[in-house]
Amino acid sequence: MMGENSRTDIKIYLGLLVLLIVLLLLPTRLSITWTRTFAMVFLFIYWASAWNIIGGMAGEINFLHPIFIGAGAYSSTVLYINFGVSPWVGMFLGAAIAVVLGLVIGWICYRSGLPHLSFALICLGFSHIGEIIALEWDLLGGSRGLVIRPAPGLANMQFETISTYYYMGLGMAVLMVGICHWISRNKLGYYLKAIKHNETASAAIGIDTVRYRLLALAVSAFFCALGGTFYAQLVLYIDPHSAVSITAVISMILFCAIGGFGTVLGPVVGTLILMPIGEVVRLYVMTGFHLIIYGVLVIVVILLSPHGLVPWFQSRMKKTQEESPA
Amino acid sequence: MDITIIAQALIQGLMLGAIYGLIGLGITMVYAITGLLNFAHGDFMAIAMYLCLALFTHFNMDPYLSSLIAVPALFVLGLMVYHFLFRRVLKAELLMVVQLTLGMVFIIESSLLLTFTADYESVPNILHAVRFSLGPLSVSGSYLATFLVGGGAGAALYWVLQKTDLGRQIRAISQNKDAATLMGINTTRIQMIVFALAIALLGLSGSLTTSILTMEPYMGLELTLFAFIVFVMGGVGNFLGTLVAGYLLGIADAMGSLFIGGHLGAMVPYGLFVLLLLFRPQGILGAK
Amino acid sequence: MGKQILFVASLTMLLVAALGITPVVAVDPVKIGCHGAFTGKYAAYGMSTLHAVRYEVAKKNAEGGIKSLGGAKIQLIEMDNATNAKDSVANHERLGTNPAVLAVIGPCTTPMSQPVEPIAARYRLPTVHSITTLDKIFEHGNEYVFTVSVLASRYGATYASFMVAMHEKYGLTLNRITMAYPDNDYGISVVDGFKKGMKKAGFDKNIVLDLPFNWKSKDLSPIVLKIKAAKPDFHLQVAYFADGKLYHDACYNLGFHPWQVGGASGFNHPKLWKTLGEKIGGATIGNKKTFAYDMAAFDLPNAGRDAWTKGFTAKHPDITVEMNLLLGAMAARFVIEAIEKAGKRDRTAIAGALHSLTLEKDDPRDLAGTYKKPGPVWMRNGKPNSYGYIAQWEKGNGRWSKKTLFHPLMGMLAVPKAFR
Repeated sequence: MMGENSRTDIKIYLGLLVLLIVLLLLPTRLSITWTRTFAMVFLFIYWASAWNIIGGMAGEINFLHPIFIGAGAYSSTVLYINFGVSPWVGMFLGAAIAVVLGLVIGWICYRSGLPHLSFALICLGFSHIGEIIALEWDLLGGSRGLVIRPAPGLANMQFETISTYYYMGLGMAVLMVGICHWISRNKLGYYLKAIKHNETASAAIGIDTVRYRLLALAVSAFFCALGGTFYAQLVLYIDPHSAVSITAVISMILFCAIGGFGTVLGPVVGTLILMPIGEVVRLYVMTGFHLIIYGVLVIVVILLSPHGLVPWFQSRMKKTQEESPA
Repeated sequence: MDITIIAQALIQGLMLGAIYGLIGLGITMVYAITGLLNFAHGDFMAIAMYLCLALFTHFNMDPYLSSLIAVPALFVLGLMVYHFLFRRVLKAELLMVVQLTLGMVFIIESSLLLTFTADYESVPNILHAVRFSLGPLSVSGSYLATFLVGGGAGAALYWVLQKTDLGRQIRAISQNKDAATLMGINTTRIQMIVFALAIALLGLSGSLTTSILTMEPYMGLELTLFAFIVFVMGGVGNFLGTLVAGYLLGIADAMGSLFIGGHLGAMVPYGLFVLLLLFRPQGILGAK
Repeated sequence: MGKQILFVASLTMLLVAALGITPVVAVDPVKIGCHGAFTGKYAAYGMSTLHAVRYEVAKKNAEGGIKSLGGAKIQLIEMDNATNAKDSVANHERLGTNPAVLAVIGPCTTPMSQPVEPIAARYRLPTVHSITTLDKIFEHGNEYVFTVSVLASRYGATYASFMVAMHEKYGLTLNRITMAYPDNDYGISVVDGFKKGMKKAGFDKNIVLDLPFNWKSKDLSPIVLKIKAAKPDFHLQVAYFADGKLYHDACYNLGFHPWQVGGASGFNHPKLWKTLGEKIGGATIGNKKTFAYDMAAFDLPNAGRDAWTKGFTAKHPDITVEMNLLLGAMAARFVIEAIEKAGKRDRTAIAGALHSLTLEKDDPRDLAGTYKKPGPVWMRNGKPNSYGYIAQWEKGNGRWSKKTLFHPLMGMLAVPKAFR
């Protein structure tokens, strides 16, 4: 059993390696538009994977991520615009703020043992409040948002060529997938799985559920916030609507759902399939139509393979291996 | 501040709250019987509203009259959605169901946009320009109608649940589905009917509010959020609680914009919700 | 069967391709980008611009293309930003990095325009917005951004000078002035312009209520209650369409009908009548004490606009000619004219040509009729040298239409209903 698993894994990792090489060479063949689109795709792989740690692995309907992304994007941008602090420094302050916010909100919610729905809604409530704070606070530019004046340079985390953003995004995505892989093979991952399966039972066998959920939330928040800074530097403009966006977290959940919740590769597969399709439809087929295609795809995938594409693929591979003579 | 101003704002908040409660009732019904969360809830109401708009534009039909078409139409739509989609995910993970309904949100909103464009629309009804006054206080006819129908719908639901066979079966299913099945209750049929009824209720809410709310294709998700908040605040699955929470939320909304105003005032309802959940996680009328 | 279909299909495609290639084009087409919110929240605005731009481009091509470039045809590259900043930026960069694209019309609306301003600077891409009103965008010293719409601060200035004119000419008291506005960049810019204008006239001390409100609110009764409690002599209500509708509903419901001026869409949009109904509409926006900001003075003579309307309506009978459409057409015309004038495929030259465009008095190119001062179309930094009007709804022959009353540069143009 174990052997078959690892053989499947080797195949998957070989495939990933090939994919990575292709992606590394791709910018030489891509137009600037598509290079930028892929930089955004990588960012979403990164974000979706980060969401997946708390959402997929621990099985929470967690909508707090607009706050984390916003904390990252706004902290680095405000520091950069007003005090000339490099985003490389500002991003860690943003991440720290996100972690603190996550821990405080998480601690309050987890301790009161809210059921799933209430938890999801309270997250939405907090995210909404976050958006309103961004709208209201003059330092954050209010509804007008903040424009970062272009000043390319490594210290400003701004690059002349879009392909640099592409590689940075790719690096972040690979790093994040690696971290998820590591977590899934470690105590934290196993505990999260147990909590997802049955929280009461996990508590009964001595897992400190609050502590591990908080840990997962903190990790997720930290990386989401770093991604927020990357987003701000890529778009060079943030406003409450785009940087504290509930739509963004809905997209992340969507990508995870298509790929497979709680799996390491789920967010990668889901994002890599949906985002480019959406972009092609948006640009070339019919504007406004891409969301209908998203919707139909989601429904079809959920009806046909309720656990997402990656688990479906894995079970098929296992089947073919069992059928073939060893 | 003048006491009549506060009283007037209070009345207005109550009226608005009735709408929230009415929308929330559907969520409560669906959850009580299937345990499912429908993120496309508000979008079904948007469909009903756009149906009224189309009937008004083409046949000059009053929205109140349109409800005679919208309610059965949405009932059938509900039956179909349940049969083709929801039935298949009853046992799936909660997150998957959330995703399925979010998929529906994408489809409905974009289709509405492509059919009706993004223009803001609203349709006046026969009571829209009627004003009822009591001393210095006054209330608009269409608000009052919604308020009364909302209360009536709540009472009717209560009566159905407590006094009819269907109600007993529903309660049996929501308490213990397996036991209900063993007792010979056709759970699938009941679930389907209740789901369709909840959607039909949105048909009614939609027809009632076309003159009050401004419609646009993306309005659904926000309505859903309000419905969820009301649903949880009232105590999950509690019909009376849903209505009460709706009123509370409406009043919080009115008081927030009266006393604080701006975006900060808009935070008041959410703040109330978060605080309430933290100190009373089971909701206003929920049992511990 | 399948193979046959495939064969026929490929043959057809070959034919189509061959036919498409046969008319050999002597000159490369001139590429112009048009991007904006064609879907999403602001789709109504974006689509108006797109319709007008498509019409203008088709017309220019039918007339023989850009003459100074050897009759080069214009090719329009359309892109949707789905009302979000991220896609707006991506679109603008896509157009900016395509050297064949000489200029861009759009993104039409303020929130989508703001993030592309640095991109326009970076790629030296002439960018003409149609409905963008925010002053700030044009205050970075960027030579490549322009807007055709009247600026938000000018809205405010118009409100102020109208109130003062009503005071001076008709003796309305201005001891208690109130103002309510959406709690966002647009509302704040308008009110800033208004306060500045009032200060100049010495009335700024009389502003007794400064009330920002949440324009996404589902009910504005509390706001109206507050205004009513302040007992205004004259009220300024800055309103979009949806919140304007809610405001009028609430005013009617609470029996509050002060002297007031407001806008834009929440007071001047013809659709308000369908939305509010005759009775409420008549008591609120049709009230003799209510005035509306309006950019297009459709009742004033404007030969250019009438000609344009005739041409456009012949092609698109289903699209009503309204302000946003006219602004889109003006943006397209200015861009085309600048390319013609520059005479070369060079972005900087085209930006320069845009800056050097001028308008005469009552110029037929001024479709909206907002430029009342002869001279350059744009002041420094791409800010348009234009003002809007104040109008009032009047009923004649059973139909409601707007009568234009006032322009800041021309003063009172007609007598308000209340004083006839």
